[in-house]
Amino acid sequence: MSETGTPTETRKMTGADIVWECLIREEVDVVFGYPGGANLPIYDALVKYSDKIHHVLTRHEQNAAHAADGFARASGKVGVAMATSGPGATNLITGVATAMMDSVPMVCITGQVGRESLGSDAFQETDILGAMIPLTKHSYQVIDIRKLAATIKDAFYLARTGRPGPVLIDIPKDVQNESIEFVYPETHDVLPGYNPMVKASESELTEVARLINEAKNPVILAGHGVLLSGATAELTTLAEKADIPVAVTLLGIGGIPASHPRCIGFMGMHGGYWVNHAIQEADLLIACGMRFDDRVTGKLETYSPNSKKIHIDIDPTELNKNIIVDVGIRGDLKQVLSAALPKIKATKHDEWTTTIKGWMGDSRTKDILNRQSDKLFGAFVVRDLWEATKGNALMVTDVGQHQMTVAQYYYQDHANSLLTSGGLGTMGYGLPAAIGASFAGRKKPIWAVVGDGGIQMTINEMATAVQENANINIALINNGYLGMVRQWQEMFYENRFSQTPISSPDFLKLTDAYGLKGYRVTERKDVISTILEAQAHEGPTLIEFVVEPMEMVYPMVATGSALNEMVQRPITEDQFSDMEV
Amino acid sequence: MQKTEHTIVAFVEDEPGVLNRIVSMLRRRNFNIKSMVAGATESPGISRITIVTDESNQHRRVNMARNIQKLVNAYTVEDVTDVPAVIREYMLAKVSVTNGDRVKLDLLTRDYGAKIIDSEEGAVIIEATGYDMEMESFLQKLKEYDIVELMRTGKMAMRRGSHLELKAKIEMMTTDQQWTTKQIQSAIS
Ligand SMILES: Cc1ncc(C[n+]2csc(CCOP(=O)(O)OP(=O)(O)O)c2C)c(N)n1
Repeated sequence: MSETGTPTETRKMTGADIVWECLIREEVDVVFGYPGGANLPIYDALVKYSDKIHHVLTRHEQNAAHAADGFARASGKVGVAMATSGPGATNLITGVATAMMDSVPMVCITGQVGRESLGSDAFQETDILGAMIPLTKHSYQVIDIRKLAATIKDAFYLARTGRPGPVLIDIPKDVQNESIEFVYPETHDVLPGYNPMVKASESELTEVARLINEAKNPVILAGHGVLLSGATAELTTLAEKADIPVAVTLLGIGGIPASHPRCIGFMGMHGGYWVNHAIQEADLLIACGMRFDDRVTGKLETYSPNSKKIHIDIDPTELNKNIIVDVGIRGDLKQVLSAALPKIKATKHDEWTTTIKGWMGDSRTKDILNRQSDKLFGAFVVRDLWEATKGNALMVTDVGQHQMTVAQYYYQDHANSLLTSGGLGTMGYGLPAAIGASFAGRKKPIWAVVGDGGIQMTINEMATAVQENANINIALINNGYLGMVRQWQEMFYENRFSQTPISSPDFLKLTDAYGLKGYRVTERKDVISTILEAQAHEGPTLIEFVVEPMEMVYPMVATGSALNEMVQRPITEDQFSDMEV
Repeated sequence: MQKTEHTIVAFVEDEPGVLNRIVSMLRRRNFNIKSMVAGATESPGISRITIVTDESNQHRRVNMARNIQKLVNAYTVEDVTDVPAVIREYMLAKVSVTNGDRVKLDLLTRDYGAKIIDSEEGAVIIEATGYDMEMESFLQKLKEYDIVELMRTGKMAMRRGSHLELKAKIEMMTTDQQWTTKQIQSAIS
């Protein structure tokens, strides 16, 4: 079989075969999905290709999308999810929206009713293309088999280039059954208006350099773009050369090692007090591949009021969207930074560094980690997980308090090693994403930190983990509440805990029933040893950590407040030592 | 003078669903549209869309154009508000008339270069086209009569002069298979 396929060596194939042939040419070796009436031909053809492509049967299509997303984030490749028409396709939606918000490269292939039935409300027909238009980077319905291969080629190209994102391909069943000579096009056929790379102009670069060279109190804001563009080296060089502190967004974690002396930590609603202060007091912000989400800006009108702002992003629609900037550059971060670096002077900002250290000292004494307590707090678990894994785990989170705790206390030194639903904040993401990540071939232990609420949204994936013998570990932080919502009720709704207490099954019985190795920890002294034991176990494990129910995530910027108006952890009695910082 | 209306011209692929994508994006991002006219162009496979917006914030307007350009089906998008351009609208108005009105109405339509294109018992259909001030003033005058039906197309825009760069760009985009690749290479090198 020829790799590129020239017309002379073609053979007739069905649309269903063509799908797999194309995936193989895109170097796909794992797909996540669920069969049904409208994609039966694709699944039937899979039998022939099962030595080249491994199919993971998730227990819900949403989780097929999350797994493809987790695989993509962990591997840097395009994740592939499949579903049948109607309910299968609509089940994908939450997973696709999650990937879209976080710029994750993904191709979703849905079956559709036959062309003749399109628009007739046939059994399991849904207008998935129409539904997905606002949720995908692009979407296709293939109604002409001659366009099938080219469409798949284009979909992969679109998913991974420029600002990555999910692409939908909807294929009517009769197109899957039709036959045609198969040729995989050598080049994509995406419209020329789609131009994923633009070079920064000389004058833009000069202006960037001037602003950086003149700044006294600069801060770099490092977002997901640092990871997507692979710009860690350039970013780190900039931070070192011009002595600029780097604050990271949730998805930017790992873009610069947390232990790097210029990395000051995580910004935003639950970011470091000192980090937010630095941003507010800065005279220059250099925003790199981030999008000024409301979770990192606080109240827009009061955001970093005295700074000049540089914004570099590959997506021009992000420039001047939320924050009006002085220089907005459209471009690939790695390119732009490496072009700007020679123009930037080596300098020191000692006073600024000292000021930030001062803020850090102020707030670190209020850190939960400095609390002398026999109780088990979620933050203690995450801190100990960091220690036990030597900071070297591939971390996956669900959404809630535990997610913020991971961002705060799992000091991440490695790129692409924190998988979390940032933009959409999708509960239930953790377990299926971890399963997906286990196919990425990373030589790291995988830990999914999840809440008792979130895990119950996608807990059925335990069966998938067992069926695949996926090497994942689940750290379930069980506080008996939908913790993050309970926190808001405590802060803003006078402790009316409306529908946030949540009961759980006996997780050890459940792990037994599903066939995972299960553990329960109630005391801090057992945390590290149990983590090490679980990690040594081959196959999926779950540790239930029974933690303090009423714990809060601090510090916090309430919505509508300025970024530096943070609610700090109250110091009560003698619960805090006066530890050195 | 601060303009209250801005005109954007987009060249997009003539494919089913493309308008849907544009409108879906405009709605989702809350861009306010006064009119939108789409139609065929000199190049087969390319539609031309004129969008008039009263979005007052300049950053939002730039963002709107960029969001249209970001759609994978778009060739190129330009804001023609501040460049010399012909901006025209077409209108049909059905006016009920008595015999006495008819003479005055003939004069009025002639004044505005409009035409009575249909005349039946009691009602005429007037066809008019022009730039916005002209149309508004004509409409004001018409209101003295009994307007039974009115249909305005929304505005179409075309830059004055030969403006060959645009033509050349689109031609290159449509004929040169390697156009994007070259753009990317020049960005990386
Ligand atoms: C699908 C979905 N539904 C609702 C929410 C709103 N929400 C955000 S955090 C949260 C609580 C999560 O509780 P849990 O999983 O127990 O984690 P904890 O906050 O206790 O760590 C909820 C309900 C959400 N983010 N996603």
